[in-house]
Amino acid sequence: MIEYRIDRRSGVATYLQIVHQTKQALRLGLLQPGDKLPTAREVVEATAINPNTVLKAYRELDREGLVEPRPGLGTFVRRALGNADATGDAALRAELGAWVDRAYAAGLDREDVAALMAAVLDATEQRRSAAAESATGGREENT
Amino acid sequence: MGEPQSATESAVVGTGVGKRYRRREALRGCDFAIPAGAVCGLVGPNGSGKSTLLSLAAGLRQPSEGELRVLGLRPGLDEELRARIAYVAQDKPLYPRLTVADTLRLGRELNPRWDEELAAEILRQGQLQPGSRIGQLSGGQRSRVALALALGKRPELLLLDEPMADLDPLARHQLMGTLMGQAAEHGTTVVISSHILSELEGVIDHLLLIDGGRVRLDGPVDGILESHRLLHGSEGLPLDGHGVVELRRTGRGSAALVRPSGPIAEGWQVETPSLEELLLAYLRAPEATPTAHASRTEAAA
Amino acid sequence: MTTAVLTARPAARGGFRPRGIAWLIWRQNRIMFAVLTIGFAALVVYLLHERSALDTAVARVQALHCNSTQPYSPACGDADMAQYAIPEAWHQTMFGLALLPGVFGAVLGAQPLATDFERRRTLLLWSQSVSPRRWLTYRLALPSAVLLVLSTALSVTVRWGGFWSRPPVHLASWGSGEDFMALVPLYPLLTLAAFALGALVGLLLHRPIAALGVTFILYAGLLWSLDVVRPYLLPSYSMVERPGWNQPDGAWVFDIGVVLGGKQVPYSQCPDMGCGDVPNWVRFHLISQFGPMLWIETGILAALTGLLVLACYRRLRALTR
Repeated sequence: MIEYRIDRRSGVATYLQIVHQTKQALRLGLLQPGDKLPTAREVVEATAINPNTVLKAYRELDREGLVEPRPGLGTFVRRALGNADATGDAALRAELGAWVDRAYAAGLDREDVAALMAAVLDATEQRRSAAAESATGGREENT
Repeated sequence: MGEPQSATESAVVGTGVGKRYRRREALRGCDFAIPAGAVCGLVGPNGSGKSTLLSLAAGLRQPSEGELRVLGLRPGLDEELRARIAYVAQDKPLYPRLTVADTLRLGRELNPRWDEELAAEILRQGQLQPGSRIGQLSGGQRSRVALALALGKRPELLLLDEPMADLDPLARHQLMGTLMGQAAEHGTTVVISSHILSELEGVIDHLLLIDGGRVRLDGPVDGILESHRLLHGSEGLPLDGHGVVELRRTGRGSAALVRPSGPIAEGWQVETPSLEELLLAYLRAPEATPTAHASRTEAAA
Repeated sequence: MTTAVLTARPAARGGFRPRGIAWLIWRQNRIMFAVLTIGFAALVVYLLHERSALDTAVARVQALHCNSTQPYSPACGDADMAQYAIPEAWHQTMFGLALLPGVFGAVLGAQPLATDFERRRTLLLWSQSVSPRRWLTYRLALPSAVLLVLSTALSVTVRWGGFWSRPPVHLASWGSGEDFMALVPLYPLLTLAAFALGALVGLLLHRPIAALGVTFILYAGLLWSLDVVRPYLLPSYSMVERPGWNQPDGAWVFDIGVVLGGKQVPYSQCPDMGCGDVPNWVRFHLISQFGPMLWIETGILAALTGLLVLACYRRLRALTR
């Protein structure tokens, strides 16, 4: 069963960390369709985070069609991620490779590139999560 | 939970709550509402009234003015409420001559609904021997016993006054996990007072900030963070129209925490603050203008 | 509402199995209760032994036909000594018994309550599902019940030994404060009042050592006031002694003086060389007033206990306000 690692100082919202790690596990095949995700209680007992955060992450995964809650049983993986579109991956990778070459040519070193990458990812995530929240109507109620 | 939307959806509601002791005023005109099922952080500097507020909610004291409702009832006066709330005082008072097992028995004898299994599990996690006397335990172990006693009560509302202060990092993580697990399983409302801000990050979803006996912030953490912006920029940039919580000079530039109303002037670098940044800014600036009331209406909107 | 989660409790295996708050009070005081029970039992045995030793001593004096007209014999001397030593020891025991309630009030009432408040354990107790009022009720009632049973047993023994068994030599005089106070039904009420006093002091002063000391002092004050007030509880009789006149049998003479110029004055008003051959006056209570006086004083202590308990609850209310 997947074990989440929460980094409170990363600046990334806790529920997004759960969403990302779940997707990562789906991509790597650590989670397969039909697998059960840990219950909110199991997650919070291991990570000492707010249970509503876990519920919010699971709702997000549900909304994306990756998992489905089965009342009384738990939350189950509905479909896998990633490998289905290996060609797309390869194309993106080539583009990124070319971009890194340009960055090195412009005088950036490895750390500069990593920092830039992280900053862009953070900004994108924040923009997307803000958009998602305004779409679902602000604060989500605990159910 | 699952009940119709109504006033009882709030676990703790204060209306103009004040508490005056013989020589000093501990709380004054406190309005707040902690929703049922929330994990609420009660934050404030030492002596700000956190402990007083918790003891009022636990029914150990009565407010001198205003009204405090817990699960719709009056703490300390409505008897049926006693079994439904649990409270752990800051210094974790216990009987040093009783054994760990006897202390659990105290919980079993004095509470109609008692979860022996859960209480025993919490003690097992800390490798506590039932036969050891409380007086021989370390401070952290005593905290664990006190929390076991509170959680064994299976409360609907759990009031914890600085619960983790003397625990080592592992025990703190384990107990916070157990606490959150209980909240997840039973929908327990948890109110944790703390001045260790990092302890609360990621744990709480509702914030009650009190300072000098008054409520300064009350609302869901997401909403509060979302309604504030952390600004960095060169000195002299305009802040007109925004509620300025704190304005600091940082070398050549300035940093500000504001509640923006309308667009922010060009030149500022705008960020959403983290919980810790927000709390520190508020605590550094004791007379910040935005009132608790404004945050509530905004959070409710 | 949510249903109560009740853990399975082991069925009572008979015997004394307190439940709930009673269990806690019993658990906290069980050693003290055991010590008290053993101590009181030892005192009862000791008093009964003294009482029978007195009979033996008197019988020996009679068997030896000792009297002052005969020349001194060591056997008679010993028997005579025993005859007087026993009442003396009895009287000293009564003095100790009169002080005991103060000790119980301090050790069972004041000290543990003050410690509970000082260490803030009341916050633990009052945040369980039991109201502070109920806690206090058990906290007062359980030790009171134990003290009531034990002090009644002891004071019945005292009254039997000193009065009801008609001792051949006076073992107790009702004019002596400590002899009087160790009698049933006064003694049990004195014990309860002292316990309630200790409890109130503990609720007021949250410092254990100070609470101990204050309880002792207040209890001593209580004993002293009872001694001062006792002669005036019932109307007294007075008479001027003339040759051939004696006070009635068993009377308690509580004041005495001289008649000077037709007025009854205390001895202290006599001139330096003495008053000379003037008549004495006495004020006394009749033996028929002994029982009523005992009951009146018991009633006073019962009322005092009631007031102290009431004050305890009022103080508790102030502490939870």
